[in-house]
Amino acid sequence: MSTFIDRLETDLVRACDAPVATRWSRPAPLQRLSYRARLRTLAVLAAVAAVAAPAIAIGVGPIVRDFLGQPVSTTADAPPAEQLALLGILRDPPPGASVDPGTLGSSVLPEIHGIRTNYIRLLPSAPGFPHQLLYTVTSGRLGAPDPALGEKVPPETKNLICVEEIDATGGGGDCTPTWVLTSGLWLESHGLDGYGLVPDGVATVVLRYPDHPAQTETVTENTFSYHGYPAPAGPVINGGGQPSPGPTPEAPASVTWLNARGGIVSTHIRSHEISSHP
Amino acid sequence: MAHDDLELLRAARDGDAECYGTFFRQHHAVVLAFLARRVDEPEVAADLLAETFAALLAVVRDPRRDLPASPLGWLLVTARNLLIDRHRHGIVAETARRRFELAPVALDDHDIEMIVESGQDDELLGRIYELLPVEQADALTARVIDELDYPVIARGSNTSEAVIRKRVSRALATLRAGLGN
Repeated sequence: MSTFIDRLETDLVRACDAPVATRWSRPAPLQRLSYRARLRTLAVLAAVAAVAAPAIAIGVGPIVRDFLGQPVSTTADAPPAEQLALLGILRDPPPGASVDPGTLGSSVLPEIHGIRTNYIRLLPSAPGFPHQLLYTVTSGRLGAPDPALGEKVPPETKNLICVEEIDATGGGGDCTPTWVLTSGLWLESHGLDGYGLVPDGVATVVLRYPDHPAQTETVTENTFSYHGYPAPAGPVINGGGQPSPGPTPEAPASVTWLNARGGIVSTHIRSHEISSHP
Repeated sequence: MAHDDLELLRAARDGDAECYGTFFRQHHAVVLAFLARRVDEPEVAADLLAETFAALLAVVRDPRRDLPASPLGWLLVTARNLLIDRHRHGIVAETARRRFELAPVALDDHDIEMIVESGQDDELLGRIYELLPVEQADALTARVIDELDYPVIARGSNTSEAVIRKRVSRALATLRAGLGN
């Protein structure tokens, strides 16, 4: 007895094997314009082009694709002044190595738009994070829509900061709003290895834990790395009811930023996600 | 015989129609489970399944369009988009099925029972956990299957939202890189 799955497969194979459909009607040709009208049209196009030239050049430069294989728009524009003021590694001339946009490969998130191709930077490497790129984008729709607000799609967020790890298997990345950086919450982990992003003016980071000694890490080009402690509660339990393999790191209870003179810039309490950043 | 997803789609594009059948057999259960968890009516799930695979066939048959780098990811995202459109408009899109003149999906009691069961069993989860490291599979299932928001997943995993985003991204990248190998 055949199921609808069998019948659907048969139909799909037949459709795949059928000659390319020719029944699609060709679009109607554009109405031929008079010579005078063509001149007027050219004048309008020239005027629009002259005005539009300084605007964002979305779509220029090398093709960058998301992990679904679709092209992601790019722009030759600079990041906003706020981001340039926060991250010295982004400023031109860059203290960090500049990177060919093609290096992004095809692992970027599908919901982001307007990769700023002249501001892609290679971050200092660290254990667990050997090849990370930092770049910014004009906007992205990340997270999930809130049905309570009547949202059908995730809300659009402007000017995201993205960090993407590139490796032979494709890597992966993450984009966050600028406030995540200034709130002191920009941390990532790979096993017990940790990596953080901080704004200019932070020279040292002190990580304090509920059950382990504090760690003091030096900042290099807006980044720092650390080797954390295993969580006392043991590994997290995954959706299959099994403990996740490898160590689960203990989350720092607070992150303190110090300036070059050793003065406290701000302290960020992670458990309550409260920032004392001015 | 080609086994890799992209190889199957390339072969289908080059004229080996049976390869699209093979691709369909490999992935229809995952897509159907994804859909059956989200709609109450088996007929709607079946229509969405047919439209999803017909939409991919439209890509395969158009040599001007790039084949998706992650075919399974493409199917799931397309199925989700069609599902959202169905909620918006009240009907399941049939553009791709009409283009290929696919017969309307007719279900008997056995089909309906199969669809209902596919939404209840763990085949989809099992497949994802086979393919991915567990922390990536956790993040991906929480985000894509259960549709939890990133902050909720982060709190449940006692880690940051940024880490969860990265795990989801890496999971999808891993699927893209490793499926079929």
